[in-house]
Amino acid sequence: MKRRLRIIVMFQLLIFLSVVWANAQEITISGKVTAMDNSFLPGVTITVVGTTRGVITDNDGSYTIMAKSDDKLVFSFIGMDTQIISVGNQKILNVQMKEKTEEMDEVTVVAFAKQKKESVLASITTVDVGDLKIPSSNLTTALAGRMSGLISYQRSGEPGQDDASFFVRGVTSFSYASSPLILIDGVEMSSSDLARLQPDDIASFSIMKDATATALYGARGANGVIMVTTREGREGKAQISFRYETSFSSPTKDIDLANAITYMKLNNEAIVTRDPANGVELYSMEKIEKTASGANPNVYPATNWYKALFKEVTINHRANFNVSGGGKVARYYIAGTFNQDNGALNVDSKNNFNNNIDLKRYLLRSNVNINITNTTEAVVRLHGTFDDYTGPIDGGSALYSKVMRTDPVLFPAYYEADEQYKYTSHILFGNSGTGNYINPYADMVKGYKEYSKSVMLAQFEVKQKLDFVAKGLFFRGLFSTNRYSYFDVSRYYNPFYYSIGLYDKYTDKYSLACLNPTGGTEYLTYDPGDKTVNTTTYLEGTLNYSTTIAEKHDVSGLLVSTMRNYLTGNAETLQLSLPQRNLGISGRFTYSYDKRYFTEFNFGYNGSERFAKKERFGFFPSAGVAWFASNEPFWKNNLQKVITKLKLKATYGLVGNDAIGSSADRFFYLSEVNLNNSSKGFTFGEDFAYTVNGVSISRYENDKISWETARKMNLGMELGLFDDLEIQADYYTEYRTNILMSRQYIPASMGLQATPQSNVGEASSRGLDVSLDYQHNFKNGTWLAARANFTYAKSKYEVYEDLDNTTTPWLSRIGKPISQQWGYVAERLFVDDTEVANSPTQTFGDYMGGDIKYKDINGDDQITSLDKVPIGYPTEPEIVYGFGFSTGYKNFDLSCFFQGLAREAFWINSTTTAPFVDTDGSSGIISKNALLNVYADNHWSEKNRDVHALWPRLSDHLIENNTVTSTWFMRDGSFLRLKSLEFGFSIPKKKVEDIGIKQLRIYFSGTNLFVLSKFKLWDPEMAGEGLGYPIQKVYNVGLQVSF
Amino acid sequence: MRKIISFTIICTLVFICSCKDYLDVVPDNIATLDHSFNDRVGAERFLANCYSYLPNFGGAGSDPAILGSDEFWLHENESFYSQYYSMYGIDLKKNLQNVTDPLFNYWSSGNGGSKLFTGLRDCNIFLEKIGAVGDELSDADRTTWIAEVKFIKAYLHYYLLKLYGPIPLIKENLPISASVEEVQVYREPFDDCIDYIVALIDEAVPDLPLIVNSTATELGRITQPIALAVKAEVLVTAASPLFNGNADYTNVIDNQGRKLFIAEYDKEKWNRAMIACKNAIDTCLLGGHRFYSYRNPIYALSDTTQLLMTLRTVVTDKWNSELIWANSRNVVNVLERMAIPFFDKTQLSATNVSSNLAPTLNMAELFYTNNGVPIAEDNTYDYEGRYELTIAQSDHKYYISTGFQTPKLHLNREPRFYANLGFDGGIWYGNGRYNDVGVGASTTQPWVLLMKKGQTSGNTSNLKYSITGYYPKKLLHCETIHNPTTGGSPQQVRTTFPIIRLSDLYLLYAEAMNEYYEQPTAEVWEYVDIIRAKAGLRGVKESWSNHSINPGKPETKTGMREIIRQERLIELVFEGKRYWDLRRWKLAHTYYNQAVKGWNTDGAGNDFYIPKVLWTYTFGTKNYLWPIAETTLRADQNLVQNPYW
Repeated sequence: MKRRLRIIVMFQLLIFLSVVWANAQEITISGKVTAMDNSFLPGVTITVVGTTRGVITDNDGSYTIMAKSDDKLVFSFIGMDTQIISVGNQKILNVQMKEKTEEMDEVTVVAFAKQKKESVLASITTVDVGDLKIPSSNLTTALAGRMSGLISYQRSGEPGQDDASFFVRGVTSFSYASSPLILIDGVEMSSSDLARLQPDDIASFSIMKDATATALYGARGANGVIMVTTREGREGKAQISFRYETSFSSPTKDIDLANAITYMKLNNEAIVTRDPANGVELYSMEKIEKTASGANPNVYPATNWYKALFKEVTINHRANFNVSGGGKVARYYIAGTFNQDNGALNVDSKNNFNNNIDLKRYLLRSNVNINITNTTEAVVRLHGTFDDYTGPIDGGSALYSKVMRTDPVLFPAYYEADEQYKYTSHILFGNSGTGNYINPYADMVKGYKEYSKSVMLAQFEVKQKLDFVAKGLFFRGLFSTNRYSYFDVSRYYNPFYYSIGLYDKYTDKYSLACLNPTGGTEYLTYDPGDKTVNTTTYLEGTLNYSTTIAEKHDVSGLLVSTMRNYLTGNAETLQLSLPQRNLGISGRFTYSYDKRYFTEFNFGYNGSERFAKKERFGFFPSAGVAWFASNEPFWKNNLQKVITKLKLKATYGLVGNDAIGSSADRFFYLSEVNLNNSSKGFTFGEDFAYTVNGVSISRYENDKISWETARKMNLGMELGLFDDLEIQADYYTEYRTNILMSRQYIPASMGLQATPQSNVGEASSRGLDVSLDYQHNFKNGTWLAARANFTYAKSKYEVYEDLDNTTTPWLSRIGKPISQQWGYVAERLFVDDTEVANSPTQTFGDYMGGDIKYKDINGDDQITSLDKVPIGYPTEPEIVYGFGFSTGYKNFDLSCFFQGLAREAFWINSTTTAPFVDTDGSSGIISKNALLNVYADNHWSEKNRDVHALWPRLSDHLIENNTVTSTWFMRDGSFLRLKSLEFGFSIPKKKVEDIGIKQLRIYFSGTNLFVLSKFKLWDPEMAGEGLGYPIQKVYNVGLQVSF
Repeated sequence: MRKIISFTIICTLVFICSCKDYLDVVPDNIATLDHSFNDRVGAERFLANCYSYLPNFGGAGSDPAILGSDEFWLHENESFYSQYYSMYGIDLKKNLQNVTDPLFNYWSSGNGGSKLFTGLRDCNIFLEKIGAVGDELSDADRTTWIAEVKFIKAYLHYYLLKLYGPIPLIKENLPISASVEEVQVYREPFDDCIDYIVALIDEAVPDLPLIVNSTATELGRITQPIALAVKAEVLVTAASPLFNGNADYTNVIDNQGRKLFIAEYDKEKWNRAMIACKNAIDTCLLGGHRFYSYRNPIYALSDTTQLLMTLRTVVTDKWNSELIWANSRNVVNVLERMAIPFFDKTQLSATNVSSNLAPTLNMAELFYTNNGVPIAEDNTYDYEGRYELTIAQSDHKYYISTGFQTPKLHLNREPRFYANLGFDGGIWYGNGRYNDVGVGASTTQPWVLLMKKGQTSGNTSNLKYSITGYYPKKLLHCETIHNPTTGGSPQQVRTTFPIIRLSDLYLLYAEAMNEYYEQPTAEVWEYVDIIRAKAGLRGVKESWSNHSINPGKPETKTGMREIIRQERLIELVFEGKRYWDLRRWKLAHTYYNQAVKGWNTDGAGNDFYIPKVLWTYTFGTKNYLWPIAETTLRADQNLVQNPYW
C-alpha cells in the first residue's frame, strides 16, 4: 500500500514540473499585507518558492516582487500562519495574515496526549480558564458549579487553610482516599498545589470522569482525574500582560452572640433549672445590674470577644505578570505572581510584632520550548511556589472557636493598669482561677508563628518525531521532579494574667492581683515546630502513532510507561520511610471511520509496591464507541440548521485505586509490630527499678489485599443547536468492588490488637452531568455568553460487612449513600419530668423535662444505639450546580455566576455550641461556651415549656442526652449563592494604543455576595463547622493590562 | 507496520525487564512477631507484655471497685472531675451503666475497661511460641515463665468471670483468618469456667517459686502464695450466694439450650473453698508472709499511735510482709492525690491534687465501738444519740483534739476507725509532722483536721474538699506531703496497692468454714479473733457476751456469718474489696439502697454536724452482673446477654 502511494506521488510531481517549464515569463506583482483587524503589517517576508528571492513589506505593509505566473509566493511572519499563494494571472495580491491559532480550541487534552475534539468519546469536561479567575488566592474555591461532574464545597475561609473539597462524580468508596488524581502538566500533585495555581498560568483545565478517560491512570484513576496544563509560549512577539487586584474581605455572616446580661441571667437559669434543690445562682443580681448599667468595666466586664479579636474588613493584594512569545526555534512563557492574604485579627499596639495572619505567596513559572532539530522539541518547565506566613500561634480557626468558648463576664481581654501596675510594660491580660481559663485575646497576641513552604518543580520533556521509522510515529519522554519543604517556628511569651484583687464598690477603686507571677514571662520563648520534606520523581515515556488510511480510516495508537517514586523525610516508622512507588504501562488504540464512527480501546497495567508480589499488578481495560450523527450525509440539509451537532457516545471499563487503607498502612502483606513498646510493659522490683517493655501489634499480615476496582459506564451526548447552544449530557453508573474495610464481625473475644482488613466492600453510584453553553453575538456589537452546569451524583453501599442486623434492618448500610449519617429520631422536648418517667429510658446519661425525647424504634422500651436510623441527606451534597452569564457591549462587560448545592444535611454541633459548658477537652484549661443569641431567644424553660424550642433545657454541664446525633440538630445544607459578580470597563483602544498598550481593563468584582438558604446561623457552606474561620465575602478592584 | 509493532514490543520488554524489581522496596529483616521469640530478651518482653494485661487494681479510672464502690461519694462538678480522673466509677454508682457503651467495659474495652481478651490471646501466643527460644533461656526459667503466664491467663479469665459470670474460655487462639462461624464463641457454663480457671492455676503452682529469687528485679512476679491465694478467692467466689444456687439466673440459656448457671445450691463448693483457703494460708506462712507491724525508726511513738499506724499503713507500705500480691503500677499515686487533705493554709495553692475522695457517713458508722461490737449492738453506746455533740476529753488525745466539740459518733470507737478515717477535729499523724501527740513543738505535732466550711480542710472556694466531712486516711502514705513551695504537685512516696493480703485470706477461710459447717467451730472464731487482736480488739465471743445486746450471736451460723462479714468490711475498707464482697454475698441491693449520707459540709460552725442525704442509689438485680455491649452481641450471635439487661 505504501509503495503504491509513493509511486502516485512521484508521478504527480513529474506532471507538476512539466507544467512549470511551460510558463516562464516574469511579471511584477505588488500588494499589501494586513492583519485580521485590517491594520497593515510591516516586516512580512515574501519569498518565491524554489528560489532564494525575497522581499520584506514596508511600514504600510506594501511590497513589490518579480515572479512568474506559475510561481508560488510564501508569506511568512512571526506569530502568523504562513500562507502559500499561487501567482496565476494576478498582478495585485493583497494578503490577510491570520494569527496562529491555538490548538487548544480544536483539541482536547486526554490522558497522556491530545485528541481532536470530534474524536473524543471519553467523558471529559473542560472549563474556560477565564471562569476560574475569581478574587481569591485559592483556585479550588472557584471550582464549585463551574464544571459538570465535580462535587465541591468550601468549609473554611482562613487564608492558607481554605482549600475547598472536591470529588469527581461524588464519592463511591468508603475506603481511605476518595479525592481525585490531580495532574499538573502530567505529573501527580496535591490538592494544595492545585489551590496555589494561578489561573493566568493555566492553558487548560479539565476533569476526566469515565473509564475511557481515566483507565490509563489505572493506579489512581478510579476517583476521577483533574488535569491541568500550564501555558506555553507561542511564536510571536512578546506579549506582556499584567493584572493587579485589591480586595476587601469580610465574613459572609457573623455569629450572633447573646449580650452579657442575657448570658448571666440564663447561666443562672441553667444552674437552677437542673438542680432546683442545691443549685446556687452563679451571678448575683448586683453583678447583673452593675454590668447592665455599665459600671466599672474592669470589675464588671462584658467582653465582646469577637470584637476584641477580629476586624470587620481585611485587605488583600494580588498581582500577576506574565510574558510569552518566541521565534521559530524557542518559545517561552514566564510568569510571576505575588499574593498577599491577610487575616481578620487585631494586633495589640503594645506588641512590636504582628500576630495577624499575613500569608505572602510568590510563584514563578518558566516554560520554555526549544526546537532542537526539525523533528525534535525539548520543553523545560520550572516552577516554584513559595509561601511565607506569619500568624497567630493557634491559627485563625482555633481562635474563632476559642472565642466561642470564653466567658464574656468573667474578665476583660486585658485590664487598664491600676496604680500598682502603672509602670508594668507587659499587657495585663484578664483571667481567673490560677490563670487557667481561656483568654483568646492573650492567646492571639502572645506571639506569632512563621512558616515557610516551598514547592519546586523541574520538568524536562523531549518530543521526537519518528517519521523516519514510520510516518505519524512520535516519541515523548518526560522527567519531572518535585521537592517540597516546610518548616515553622513560633515565638511567644507566656502571658501574665490578672484578676481583680480588691474592689471597693463605694469608692469604685480596685486593685489588680497577678494570678501567675511565676508563670508569665515578658521575654519571648521559641518553639522550633515542624519540619516537613519530601520529594517525588516521575518518569514517563510515550510512543504515539497516528495515520489516515484511504482518507476515511483514522487509526492511532499510544503506549505509555510511567514510573513514580515518592520519598518522605518525616516517616514515623521504618515501614513508612520506604519509598512509595508506582509502575505502569498503558495504551490506547483508536479507530474511526469517516469521522462518523469511532471506537477506542484503552488499558492500564499498573503496579503498586503496597501489595504482596502476586497481587501487585492490576490490569484495567476500557472501551468505547461513538457515533457522530451530524456528520452523516443525510444530516446535511434541514436538520443541520437546527441541530448543528449531535454526537452519541458510550464507554465502559475498569479503573483501579491503590490508595486504600490509611497512608500509615503501607504494606498490607507485612505485619507491623513494635517489639519494644514502653507503653505496654511492666515494672517489677522492690524499688520499681526493673521495667521490661512489652510487645504490640498494630497490623496483622494479609497478603491477599489488592487493588480497589471501579467498573464505570458512561452514556454521553453532545448536542449543538442553532450554532449558539451546546449541550453536553452524561449519564453514568459506577460499581466499585474490593473496597478495603475493617472486618466488623470479629468479636472482642478474638483478642486482636488491630482489626484485620479485607477487600470485601462494594459500593455503587450513578448520576448525571449536564452542561449548557450559549454564545451569541448580536448585531449591535453586544455579545452574550451563558453557561449552566448541573451535577447529580448518588452513591450507595452495596456490600458492607456489618454486625448482625436481622432484627434491626434500619441499621444496615446496604442501599444507603456513603456519607449517610445514622442518628436518633428526635420527637420533641420532654414536657416535664413526669413524661420522662413514663417514657422509654434513654441511655445517654442524665436527662429531665425539657431535654430531647427520642423515638423508640425497636420498641424495647429503651433508647439505645439500636434505635439509630438513617437520618437526613448525606453529608456530601448530591447535587452541585451553577449558572451564570457574561455579556458585553462596546467597552463594558458584566458577568455573574450563581452556585448552589442541594441534597446535603449537616448538624449544628450541639457540644461546641452548648452554652455555659466546658467543651475544650484539654485538661488544666477551663473554658466556658458562649451563648448563641438564637439559643437565648428560643430554648425550653420552666416558664416557657416550648417542646419545639430550638435548644433544650439549659444546663451548666454537658447533657449527653442532647448531644447524640439526632434529627433535632440536623439541618438542610442546600443553598444558592451569588458566587461571583464582575463588572469591567476596557479603556478604548485608541486612547491607549499610543503608549503601547493593547488592552487596559478595570474591573470590579465580588465573591460570595449573598446566599439563599433556610439556615441562618452561619454560612451554610461551612456546614457543621460554622464556629470556625468564616467564609469570606470579597469586594475586589482589579486592573488588567496587556502590551 | 511490522516495524512499529516490533519496536514497541522491544521497548516494552526492555522497560519491564529493567523495572521488575522497581516495586521491591521492602528490605529484609522487617520486624515481625517471631522476632520476639528469637532470644531471651525478646521473650522476657513478651512475658512483661502478658503481665501488662493484668487489671489495674486500685486505679481510680480503671478499677470499678474504687470509685464505683459505695465507700465513697464525691462532690459533683464535672469540669473539676475531668482535670483529675475519669468519672466512670461515679457514673457506675449513679446507675448509668448501660448496654450501648458499658462503663468499665472489660469485654470489648472502653470507659476504663482494658482489653482482657487481647491479654488472653497474647498469653496463648506466649505459650505457643516460647518453645522457639534457644538455649539462652534456661529450662528452669522457661518452666517458671510458662507457669506465670498460665496464672495470668487464669486470672484474666477470673476477672472477666467476676464481672460477667459465665464467659467464653480462650483455651487456644483462633487463627486470624477464622471464618465468621468459628469466631462466634459461646459463653461456657459457670462451673466449667471455674473448673478451667482452677485447673490452670493447679497446673501453674508446682512450677512457681515460693518466693522470688531477686527482690530487686522480681518483686511483683507471680509466686506460689499468690497463685494459691487467688485460687482460694476464686473458689470462695464460686461458692458464694451470687453464683451458688442463685435463682435469679436459672433462665440464662444460650442458643444451644445450655443452662449457664446451675440453679441448685451446692454446699460442697464451700468445702472446696475451705481447703483451698487453708492450703493458701499454709503456703503463705511458709513463704514468709506475716502480719504487718509499723516501724518508725526515728520517732518514739505511744502504743496507741503505733497501733493506729500499723492499721493504717498496711495498705501503703510497699511490699510489706502482709501483702501476698500487690499491684506495682503507680496507681496509688492518683488515689493519694484524691485522698490528701489540706492540713494547713499555706498548702492551699498546691496543684495536681483534687482532695475530694470522701468516705461516706455510712462508712463511719460501719466501724465497731471500742468494745469490738457494732455501734447499734453495743449495750453501752448511745446509738440513738450518736449525732449529738459533746466535748472530746484527753483520754481520746491520740484520736481527737482534746476539748474539741464533736459528735458522739467519733468517740469510743475501735482503733481502726481512727486509723483509717480523717475527720473534723481528728488527729492526723505523719504527712510532714512526725512527733507524737504532746511531744515537741506544737508545729511538729500531728495535724488536726478542720473541715467545716471555710476551714483549711473544708469547703473552700477551690472545690478541693470532702463532700462528706471524712478523708480515707488509709490510702495516704504517711510520708506523702504537699509541696512546700507555693503550687506544685505533692511529694509522693511510691506505694503498692494490695490485691490480696493475709487478713483477707484469713477472713475468707473463716467465712468458708462457717458456711461449710453446721455450727461455728472454734477454728472459725480463732481466725476472726486473730484479725481482731491485730486491731486491738478482744475475741468475738468475749466481746459479744460482754458488750452486745445480742450476746449469743457468735454461737449461731447466721450470727457468725454477719460478724465475719462486718469484720471483712471493716478490715478491708477502701481496699477495693467491699465492692466485690457485697456482690458475691448478694447483699449489694440492701446496702446500696440505703441513703448515702455525709455531714453538712456547706455548714459553718455546728451547722456542719447535720447528717445530709447526698444520694439515693437504685441498685437492681441486673446490676450484679455487667452488661455485654450491644455491639458485641451483634458481632457474636452465640452470646447471650446477662439477665435483665
